[in-house]
Amino acid sequence: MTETLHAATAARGHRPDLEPAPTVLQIRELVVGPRPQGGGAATRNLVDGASLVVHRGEMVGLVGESGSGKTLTALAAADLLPAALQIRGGQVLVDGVDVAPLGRRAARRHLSSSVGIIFQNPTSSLNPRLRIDAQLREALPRGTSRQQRRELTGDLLGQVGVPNVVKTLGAYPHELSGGLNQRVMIAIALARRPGLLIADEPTTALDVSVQAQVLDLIDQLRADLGIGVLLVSHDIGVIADRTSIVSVMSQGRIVETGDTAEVLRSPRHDYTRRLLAAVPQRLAPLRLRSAERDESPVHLEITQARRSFVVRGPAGSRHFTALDGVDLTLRQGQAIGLVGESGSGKTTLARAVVGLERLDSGTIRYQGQDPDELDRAAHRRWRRDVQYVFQDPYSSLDPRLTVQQTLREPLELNHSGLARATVNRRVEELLDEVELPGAFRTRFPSELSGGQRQRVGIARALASDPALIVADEPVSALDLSVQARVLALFGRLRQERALSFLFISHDLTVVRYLCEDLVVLRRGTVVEQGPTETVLRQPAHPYTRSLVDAVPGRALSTLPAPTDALDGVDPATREEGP
Amino acid sequence: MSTATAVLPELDERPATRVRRPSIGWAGRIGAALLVVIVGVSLLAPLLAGDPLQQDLASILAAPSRAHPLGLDEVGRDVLDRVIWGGRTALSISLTAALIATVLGLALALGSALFGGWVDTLCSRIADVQLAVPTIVLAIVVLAFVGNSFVPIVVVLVLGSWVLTFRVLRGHARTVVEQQYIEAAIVAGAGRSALARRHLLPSVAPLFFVAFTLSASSALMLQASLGFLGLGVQPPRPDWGAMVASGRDALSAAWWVATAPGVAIVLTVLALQLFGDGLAERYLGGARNSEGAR
Repeated sequence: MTETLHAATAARGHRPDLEPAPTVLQIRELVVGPRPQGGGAATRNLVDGASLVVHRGEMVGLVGESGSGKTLTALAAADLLPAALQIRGGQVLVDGVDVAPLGRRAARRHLSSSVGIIFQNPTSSLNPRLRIDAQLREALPRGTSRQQRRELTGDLLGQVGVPNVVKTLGAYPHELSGGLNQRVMIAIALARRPGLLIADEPTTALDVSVQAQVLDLIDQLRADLGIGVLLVSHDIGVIADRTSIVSVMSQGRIVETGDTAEVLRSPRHDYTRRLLAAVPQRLAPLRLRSAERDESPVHLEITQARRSFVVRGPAGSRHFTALDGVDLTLRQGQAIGLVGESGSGKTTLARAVVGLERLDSGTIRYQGQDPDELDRAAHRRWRRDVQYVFQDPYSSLDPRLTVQQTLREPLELNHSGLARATVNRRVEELLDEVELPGAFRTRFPSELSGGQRQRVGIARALASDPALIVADEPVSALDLSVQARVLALFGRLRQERALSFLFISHDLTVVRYLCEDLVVLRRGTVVEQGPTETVLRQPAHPYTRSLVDAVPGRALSTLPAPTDALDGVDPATREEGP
Repeated sequence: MSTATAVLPELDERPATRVRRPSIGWAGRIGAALLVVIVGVSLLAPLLAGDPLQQDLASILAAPSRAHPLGLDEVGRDVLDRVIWGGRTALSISLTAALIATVLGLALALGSALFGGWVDTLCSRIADVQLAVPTIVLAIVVLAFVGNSFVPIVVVLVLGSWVLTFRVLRGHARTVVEQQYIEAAIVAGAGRSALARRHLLPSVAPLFFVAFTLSASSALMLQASLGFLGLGVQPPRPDWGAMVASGRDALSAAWWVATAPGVAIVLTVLALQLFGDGLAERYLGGARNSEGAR
């Protein structure tokens, strides 16, 4: 571990003009594990000897996949570990003070004035029953007079770039947007003038453009106030753009630390290399069609789709227009990426295509026919042809059914009278197609990982032998490497099955990989559409341009093409077995 | 696939492990054991007990003895024999009623959840009306007009206990219907009956059994109350409630006449409740773990 520490120092060494800034956080050989229960055998440590240094004015990234221990490391630094866990070894020095021997109260006092922390979901981190004003006052240091508090709250909000300070102070968290709430959280975190800001996935729950603004703010505060920032993220693009030093974490260990650009350009550890190979920006785009596009028959045609909802809130009900006259044409074998931020109506449109949502007006024609006007037999055929892959691989599988039972369902419902043996053989084939071993048949969803569940979801969609697959953010809940493998699976299915694809995503890089064509939705209307490359390179609409500009990972696209063994391999075989 | 595994071993996620259901607990086991004994004895009444109607007029209200372990009642009938035969009456009526009530509640609950809209509103309003009418008053009125035989008593008990099942199962079924896997099943081609059969029934089954045991215990209490009020099965057929009522007059002289059937009622209700609680602990606790914790 000392090696990695040296590496960090060495990496900073290329700026000899700078005095080494004082450290605000130093983690040495940190070990975090479950609290022993009743003298049981030693259980696995979740953080296993992690070391990390954050200097003043420096943004340090901690990147890793879910379960890597990155969040626990950050929480341990702020003495916020869940009750079931404890620090089993190592040291945490905040502002040069070792917190452990201080005792609980003194440690808390020290930490509360020297560490600020923000979390993934700002709205649930704020107290829903208190106005922003009250929450900010509470966060101010002890001994601040009433008068001072009144002035300081406004100053704090101004500092984090809140546009209408007076209005925001009087608001409750639910009245503010996610981006605004995260700004408030940052203001609270900075209220005691800490030297260190720990940001645990601060923008994961936010839209891309808001994400960019919040990250800009954190970066600006770092420069202006000279605080050290520990940025914990799964998003290697965010890390690449924002941090100067990065630590890569896997299975509780920090496998690599160094100058961010250096680590990304020439990763030394195997894990970093594989992580980088899985970044969607760096996957070679799948382009299955170009010239014959216009000759293919129209598969799906959406005209003037409109849908609005009544949203009942504490301030009375209001109308929310999800779709405001959307036109879209999907040809046989085409893959269209439907992108937009939350509230743009993309999910409503996707659900309407598969019949889970009704339109107020407008039509959706599949092969020239409105499914609502079909007779019984034709409607069943439409039901088989148009399938859906859900975003959440957890709630879209019945927890009581085994994989086998889940996959049997569409087979039995659509082809009644199939022999048991035939059904079982089809189940095996489907599992094989999504690259799950046959032994998984008898597993329950709780026994599968997120990526495996999503594969089962895809297999279920394939079971009825569809012609059109609508996928609603099918990879957004998955880790980077799992995401890359599921994307490769989609790519292979497109190649082998000649499916038409409507792929909904907020992530332009994912769409770029999988779809030749792109449709940009904003507030229920199509603002731009066309071939993916053209739209991304020369966005015509300002909104598209802002979306493209906001995508994190700019630094990644300038990297040389990966020379990794993984690259150049067919996406299908790049897939990893479970 | 094995070569690919070698390429990316660390990046694979660890799947969650299988959740073990908690056991029904010692209380649940005691309840189950008690229930087995009570049901067994009632089923075997013709072998275990003598004629419950046979009178020994010479020894009216005789104290418990070797020949008559629970003594004799006010007309010289063996109390033990009557308690055993009375169990047949009590269990047959209350279990039949509980079964019909829970199945009715289940059907209405699933219908409400699947159809929603006016079906749901109608069923819920009927349940509200049912709850507003005191069951015992309803029973007295109905039985006074129709007469107190097996079928009317069962009908009255069903009316008094279906709402419990309906309410509990409807609430659960509605949350299930909102789950995404229901939408997934619809896309897979499932109609309402397939949804009910494949997803809703397995999901509400544990609750159904819990509701059944609780309904059975409340039906038994009600059935005993009706017997006590003289609205139960016709005498001289032995009935626990009626036996408590008739023994009450002789309570100071012969406590055993009223106490024995009373204890039988308490034990049976207790057994059903303990067993129901154990089932709830096992299935509902377990279901909460495996779903809630994802």
